[in-house]
Amino acid sequence: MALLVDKLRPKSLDTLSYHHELSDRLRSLAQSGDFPHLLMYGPSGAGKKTRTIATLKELYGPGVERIKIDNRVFQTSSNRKLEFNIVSSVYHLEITPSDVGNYDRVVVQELLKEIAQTQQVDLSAKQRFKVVVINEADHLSRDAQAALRRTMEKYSPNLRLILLANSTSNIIAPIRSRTLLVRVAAPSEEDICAVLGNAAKREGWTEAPVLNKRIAKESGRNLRRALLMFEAIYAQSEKVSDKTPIPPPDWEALISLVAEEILAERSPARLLQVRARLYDLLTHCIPPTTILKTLTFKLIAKVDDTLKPEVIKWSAFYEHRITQGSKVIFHLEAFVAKFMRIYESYLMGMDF
Amino acid sequence: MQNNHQARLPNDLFAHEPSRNLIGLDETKPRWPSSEAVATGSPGSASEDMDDSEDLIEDDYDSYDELFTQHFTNDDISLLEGVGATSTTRSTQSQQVQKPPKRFLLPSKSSPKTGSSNSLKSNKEDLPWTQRFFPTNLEELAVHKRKVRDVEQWLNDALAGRPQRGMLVLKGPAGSGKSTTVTLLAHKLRFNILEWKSPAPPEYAAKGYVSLGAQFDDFLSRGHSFGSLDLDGTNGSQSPTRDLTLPNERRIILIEEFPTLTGRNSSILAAFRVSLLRRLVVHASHTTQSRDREAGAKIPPIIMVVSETLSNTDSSFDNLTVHRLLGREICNHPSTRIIEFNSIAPTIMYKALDLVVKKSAHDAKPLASTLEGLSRTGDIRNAVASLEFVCLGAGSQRYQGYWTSKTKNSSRVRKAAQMAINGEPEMVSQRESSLGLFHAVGKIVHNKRNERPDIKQLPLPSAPNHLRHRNRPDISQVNVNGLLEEIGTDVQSFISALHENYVASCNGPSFTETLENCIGALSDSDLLCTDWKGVNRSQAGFGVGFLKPGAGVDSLRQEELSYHVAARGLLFSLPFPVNRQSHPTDKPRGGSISQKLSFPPVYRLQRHMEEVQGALDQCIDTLLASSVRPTAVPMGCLGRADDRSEENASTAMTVLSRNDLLLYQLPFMSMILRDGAKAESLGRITALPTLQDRNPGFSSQADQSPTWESISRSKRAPGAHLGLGAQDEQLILSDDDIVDDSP
Repeated sequence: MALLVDKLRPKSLDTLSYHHELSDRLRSLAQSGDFPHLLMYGPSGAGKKTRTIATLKELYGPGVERIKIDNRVFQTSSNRKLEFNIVSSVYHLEITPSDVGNYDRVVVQELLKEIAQTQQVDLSAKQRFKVVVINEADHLSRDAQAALRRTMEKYSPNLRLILLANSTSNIIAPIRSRTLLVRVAAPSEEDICAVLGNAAKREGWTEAPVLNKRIAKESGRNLRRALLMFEAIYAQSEKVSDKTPIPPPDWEALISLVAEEILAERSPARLLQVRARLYDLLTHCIPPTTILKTLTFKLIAKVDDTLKPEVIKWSAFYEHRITQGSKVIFHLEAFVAKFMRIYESYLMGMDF
Repeated sequence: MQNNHQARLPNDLFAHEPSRNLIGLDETKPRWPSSEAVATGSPGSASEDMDDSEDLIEDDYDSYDELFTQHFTNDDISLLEGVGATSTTRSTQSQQVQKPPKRFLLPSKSSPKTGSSNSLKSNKEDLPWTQRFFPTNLEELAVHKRKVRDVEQWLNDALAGRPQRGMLVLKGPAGSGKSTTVTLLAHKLRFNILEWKSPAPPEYAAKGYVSLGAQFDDFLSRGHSFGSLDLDGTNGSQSPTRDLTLPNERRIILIEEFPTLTGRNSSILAAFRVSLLRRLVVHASHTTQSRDREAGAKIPPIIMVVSETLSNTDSSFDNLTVHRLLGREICNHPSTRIIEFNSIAPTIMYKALDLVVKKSAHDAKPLASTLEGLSRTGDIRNAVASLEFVCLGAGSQRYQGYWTSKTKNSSRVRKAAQMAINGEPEMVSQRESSLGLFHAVGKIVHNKRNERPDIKQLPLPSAPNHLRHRNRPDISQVNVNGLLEEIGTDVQSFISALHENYVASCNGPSFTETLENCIGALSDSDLLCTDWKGVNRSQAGFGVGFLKPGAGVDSLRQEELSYHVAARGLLFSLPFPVNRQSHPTDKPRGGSISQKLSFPPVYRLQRHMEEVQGALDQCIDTLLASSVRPTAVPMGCLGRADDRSEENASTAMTVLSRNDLLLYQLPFMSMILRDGAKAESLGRITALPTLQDRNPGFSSQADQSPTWESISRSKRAPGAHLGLGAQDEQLILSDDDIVDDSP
């Protein structure tokens, strides 16, 4: 069963429904015959990947859509074996090096070298080079990025890279200077509403414009999320009206529950209760930084303006500690305790 | 071995010989003592005692090749030695007469309970109690009946050839009776056990070298067809019943030793998993296809016994868990069933220990309170060993507290004994490490300080005005430096335990400040510790403990720093006097709730996390695979793909980032799919149990509209969740909580 998100994904640059100017540019780039390395950046759900695939199709024709999955095994210097999934077609391949954590350098080096050293065998191919799409390029370690930089220079006749990232801040400068930066902005709420309206029409569902607007707002201008929410709502209730509630994912519901609990009562017992919930979130593999971030935003929505800077400050402080330390729960709990103290002092009218 | 000595007497005792043989036959000896006896005595008797061969007849044969070789040597001797022919032939004749029944009688002399002859007893005396008083039937087995029934049912189904009964994994802490259950069930259900034994690693250079993985694979694939050759008796300790009369298909394969553990090399582990997986697949296809199974062609099921250690070391290599060993594919395979054994409940354990005491018929009966103390360990092997230790020491002064002697039964002695019990009952019974841990944690979280120092003494200088709030006039009684030696575990576990237990101490007027300072200190201490950085990150491959190399001395020093920051920080911040209040989720049970300390739940949580992670990995794989299938192209027409593309290019699949998938795609997918097996498996990843168990007192769900509440509630299966109360309870280490199903 295919989700709406996958079903409605535009296949070519023509069918993309927003950022038309960007689409035009990509098309002319693809047709120019001199395709540079690209660094596509923008928030998630803005359509980076969709645009990339569409551009590839423009470059090579529909053969790009015939993909297969390889399970490759790499050997590290310490003799550990890394399993790694590669999605590839004849013309391109797509990797997510951050899946293998610290060993991404090995993967990047080995794989790119291997690809770059073999020329395109298919004589009828439109381009002489292959394209490697690297997902989550901003999660690449410094080592891996350095390795990438060398590879880009050395093998440029056979290889083009498309890096996808959420922001350029984590990409080292040498790479930024070697790539063409393409910003893909998040769709506006109107764009999302239009897409949702189209989807409803295609599926034959009753339209609810106000609901669509709410979804667009709730999704944080993330089209992917918006479509998922949209489908979930229609799957859950037969009669959809403008007032149908939007179900949050469980983890988000739990975090907002935690926020309410902290605001309702501050005591050691409450801290223990919160700890149990945090454990629950952590065991479900919710990334700790996501937990902290969501919790912070849920909290500051409900506190007085004078408290907000302080809360944000400590949230940032403990987020840093989460990435530095190893026992995540300590830092999350420390943030909760800190917030309790700040809030309590505020309620008592004291300085904090 | 008394018989042996008799047999070495001169040959004029021949007259008695036949009768002695008959006695020897009637003896029903258990395999336990025999294996012991042969292990010590047989090499000597086989080589040096060649001349008096009647000696050999008396030996209870332990293994079959031994039986054959000795038989042959006897024959050789009888042929070669012309002089002593009269004596030897007579003895061989008698042997030949006895031999066939003897060979087939061997398996049935099984139960140690029936063994009552004198010689037997003398042999049994040598054994440790855990083996001497091995449970003889299921009633004596100190495992909860329901667990046994689960295993029994699975075995019955498996032996009957039902589908999806490929592998049973029994996991649980050491000494919870996993292997014993299998052994006794083998006796009851009448099947044979074929056990994998890791061979000694052969030399690489040797001709015909076969890797361990290959050997294991070989064992799995062919073991069932040639199984009977494995009956060499070396694993007699595991299976008192080896009934040769049983048909071939009533057999299971037992794996208790894992080939992977002999080498840390991941290739062996991979080979191990591949063998198992292949085996499971074969088994599944076999049971589904040929319903009419003919005898001998059936594939025996596998039972795997894994002692999961909850050791305190953070090194993930030592922490063997089923998930780490088998990987997600095997764990989630439909043919795999995992049954978890809990530590043995004190009540059951008490009965078992009592039985052992009765069986031992020892002069000195241990006190009931000693037994109770022993029962709390949860590890029956350990407990019986401790019991033996206590009883053996009955004569000496030191352990007077633990027993009541029949001879000195005066009330005075008993009173003294009782006092001793109250003093230090843990001396032999408790495991050292946990004792030290809780002791040390208790010292910190109770934060004992001296009352106001004497006025006569020099007054301590107090802090300047701007640091007035940091003034702590009372001097701490805790010797922090000394405590480091006593924590009984590694520093990080200790800090985790502190974290688990400090909250209850924070009650007081300014608890927010206390709480914040305490957790702040812990947070600081965590930054100072070096180890397993990056291991636990969500992106890093889980369970691959990668310690930074070359940390050696530095890490030791940093551990210490980390310890001091945590311990001193807590001592500084905690109020004095500490008022440990029970938190409201505690049920009033027993007297001193507030004194309860809990063990850090990290390891259990980690296991849970691994499960979720495994499910997630599998989910990603299936998503990828399912999206590829419609567009997959045979390798032949790679280049010509262009012409017929449009119609079947249904989804242009790409890899989704893991976080996106986990945070948004899967939760919504499980809402979209709603029911069916797939949604259920998704629910395992996305559903959060504590969400459903809201505390009604605090849920001011103003902005979360009630309709969504009702929707989500109706959607989820009732009773499938583990409420917060239950979970909180689980985090507390008290004897009732170790097992969830004490009768």
